[in-house]
Amino acid sequence: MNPNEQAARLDAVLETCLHALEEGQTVEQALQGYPELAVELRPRLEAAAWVRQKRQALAAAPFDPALGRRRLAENLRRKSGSWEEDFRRARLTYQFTQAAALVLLVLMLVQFNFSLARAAEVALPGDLLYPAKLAGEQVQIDLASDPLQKAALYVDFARERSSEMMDLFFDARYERLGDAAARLKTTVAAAQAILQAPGVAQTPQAAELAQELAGVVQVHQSAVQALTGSLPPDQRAEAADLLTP
Amino acid sequence: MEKGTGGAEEQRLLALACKGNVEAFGVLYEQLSPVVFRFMLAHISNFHDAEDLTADVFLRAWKALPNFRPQGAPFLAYLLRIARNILVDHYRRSGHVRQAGPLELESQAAEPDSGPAERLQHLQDMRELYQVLEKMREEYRTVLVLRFIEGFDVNETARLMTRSSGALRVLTHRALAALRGLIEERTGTGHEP
Repeated sequence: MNPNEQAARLDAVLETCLHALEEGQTVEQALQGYPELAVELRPRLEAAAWVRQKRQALAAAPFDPALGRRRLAENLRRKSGSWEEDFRRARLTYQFTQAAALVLLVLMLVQFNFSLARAAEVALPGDLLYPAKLAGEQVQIDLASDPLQKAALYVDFARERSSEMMDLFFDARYERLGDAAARLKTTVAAAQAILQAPGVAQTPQAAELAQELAGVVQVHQSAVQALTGSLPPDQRAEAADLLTP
Repeated sequence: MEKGTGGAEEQRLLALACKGNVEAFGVLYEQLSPVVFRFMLAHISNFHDAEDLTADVFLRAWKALPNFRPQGAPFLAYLLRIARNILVDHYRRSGHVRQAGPLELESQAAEPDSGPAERLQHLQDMRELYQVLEKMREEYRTVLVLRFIEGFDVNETARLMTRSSGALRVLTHRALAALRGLIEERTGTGHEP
């Protein structure tokens, strides 16, 4: 038996003997089954028996729970009017603290979302927050109730996509240009689909937006043509795709 | 032994008390205050202080009940935790652990139903118990009181002291070894009379 096993056995036997003492056996009776451990266990069992022997003195101490209960009630009443009032006050304090914590949490979340939205606004394709930016735009599209309002948003977003492509050029992140161009095409197509829809196409606002969209596309094509020279030679062949939203 | 190890009835009373039910809290007081009182008494050896501090424990528990979330643990464990904090404050205020003098003990131990010989024996026992307990570490004192004075078993005491049963067993054995050493030191014999 290794030392750990010996210690565990000693612990287990001591507990058995303590239980026997609690049942009313003497130390010697409790130790009868374990003569090989008697030398180690006897002092501890005698100590336990000594405390048990004294407990009657503490148990006999004059303490009246009913009287104590009345005194406590009086004490509470004297300090704060009544038990109920004291409890109600504590409960209100707790509820107020909970509510304050909730409000603080909401404010922190709002602040966090606001900061996130601000940071996402300037994100470019490939950035961590770029999906958040696109998701925010999609929410705006979904919330727009009127087709012209949606079309106006698509025009704004087309301008934003074009602007992102310019930034990618300047940052030499050419590998992202293909995806960015595809997104621009999708956005322009979505705007055109609305502006050419029956019932919308004839309105003066639709004509204004179509003109604005054409302007965005034109500026984009001019800018891309000017910047194509900065593309690495192996990517210039694909530059035509970047021009055609 | 008084109730106090978290039975269904205690949990029911506790749930009511948490909603502000004074009667339920009063019943809990009557059931658990003797254990808290003896716990205090084993630590401060003064009846009147022990009574006052027991009342403080329940007063503090009552005020904390709106924030208390019963999770199945015995309410007594919560009370004993408060009791330990109150004892720390008490020691800090009084500067040291005060030991009751013979006259004080005698007046405190005057149980109305016991004869003079029995009272004298209780007085002697209490004095000896205090002399030893006051020299022990707080956790040793607590485990000895709960196990050998209150009679809680290993598992009950472990729950009350929020420890594992294994850790509680080791603590008990160390406390008994320390107690044995103090008894020998006090008697100067190596054996308890």
